Amino acid sequence: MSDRLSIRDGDVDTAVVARYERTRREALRAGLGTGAGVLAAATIPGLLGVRSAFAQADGDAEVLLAAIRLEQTAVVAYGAAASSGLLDPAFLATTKLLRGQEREHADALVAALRQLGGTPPPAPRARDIPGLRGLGDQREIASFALELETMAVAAYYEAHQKLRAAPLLRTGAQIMANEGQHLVLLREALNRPPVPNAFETGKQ
Amino acid sequence: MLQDPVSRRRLLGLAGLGLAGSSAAVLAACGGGDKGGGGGGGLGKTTELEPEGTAASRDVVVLNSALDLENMAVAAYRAALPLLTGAALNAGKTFLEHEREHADALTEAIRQLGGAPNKPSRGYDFPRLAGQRAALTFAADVESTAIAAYIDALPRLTSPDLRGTAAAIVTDEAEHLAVLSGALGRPQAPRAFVTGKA
Repeated sequence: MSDRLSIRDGDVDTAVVARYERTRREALRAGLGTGAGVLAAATIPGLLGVRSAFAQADGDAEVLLAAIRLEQTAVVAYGAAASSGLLDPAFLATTKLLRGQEREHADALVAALRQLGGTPPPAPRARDIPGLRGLGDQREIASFALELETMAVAAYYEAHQKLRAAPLLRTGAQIMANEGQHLVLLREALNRPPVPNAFETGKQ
Repeated sequence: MLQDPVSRRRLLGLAGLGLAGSSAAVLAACGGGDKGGGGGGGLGKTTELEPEGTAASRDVVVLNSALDLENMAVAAYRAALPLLTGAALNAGKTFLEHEREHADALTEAIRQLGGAPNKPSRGYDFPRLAGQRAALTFAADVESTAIAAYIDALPRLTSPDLRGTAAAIVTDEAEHLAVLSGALGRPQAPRAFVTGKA
């Protein structure tokens, strides 16, 4: 799989991504999006690994682990974007804001996992995040971030059907709502409708 | 946000929901005046109280309180729309439609659980809105109130699917709030954890 993917206006432009996208849409049409969810949201194949881990998690600690990986991925991705030199000042400020908030999510989730006796995973390296290196301009970076945030919303949506502890459910809802606000910022940056659906599930 | 005269306490009262103490988290145990069309008993019960009734009946209580809030939000946007222009008007129309969709979905879920959906109030004692900025501020307060209530209520839903639906709705409300905040010149994502509380 190539890691030099680019996305323009939401349309995939490589055969491999197009194949994944077709599969995802077919799965969603077949009703697999709600239960299995593995193929939902992401049009970037490499990110599906993180997403799949979330979908397969069972139990509060496993869900937290998957959520931490997702948040760590976002922190690293936004950090790489911020240091790319490709962003204008306004979008750079947005990127730094989003990176800081993803870090806060990760910190809170790590603390919750430790309370359950778990050990947080190491953060990924930027080069291990498929698709990140191939992004060539601000629009591609914003599109990538939009996919990442959409995937996060879908993951938290499913997490609400799995988490059991009330405090975790509340924290998860607070984070998911914040990811939705990130979506608004990114959609506006891409000149897309900021709130296209009445139910934000991360499933397009 | 949520300063008088449009306080969260007042909005919850308008929706038929009670609010004990200063925290929305406690509102769940409160009966509240029934200014809305239905039971309006707060969004379920607090974790400190022993749950009563079947899982379905407890979910119906939570969903009906959410429905009261959605019906109030529909009325709030209808009151705000005449004061909006341009992009704010377009956003207001979209958000009104979203709130209607939320209300419809909650109504259907309540019926599927064998419950009776609360009806909208015949009127709400909204504050007088003077101009677009006041209308946007009012809408933002309504959204913040709904967010706080949903986050408080979500763990009380026994059905995993309904918890997912509530999470999808509260995220949509948070997105509305981001757009409204932007129109008001406020930060659109001011905090990493969206609580609906100032």
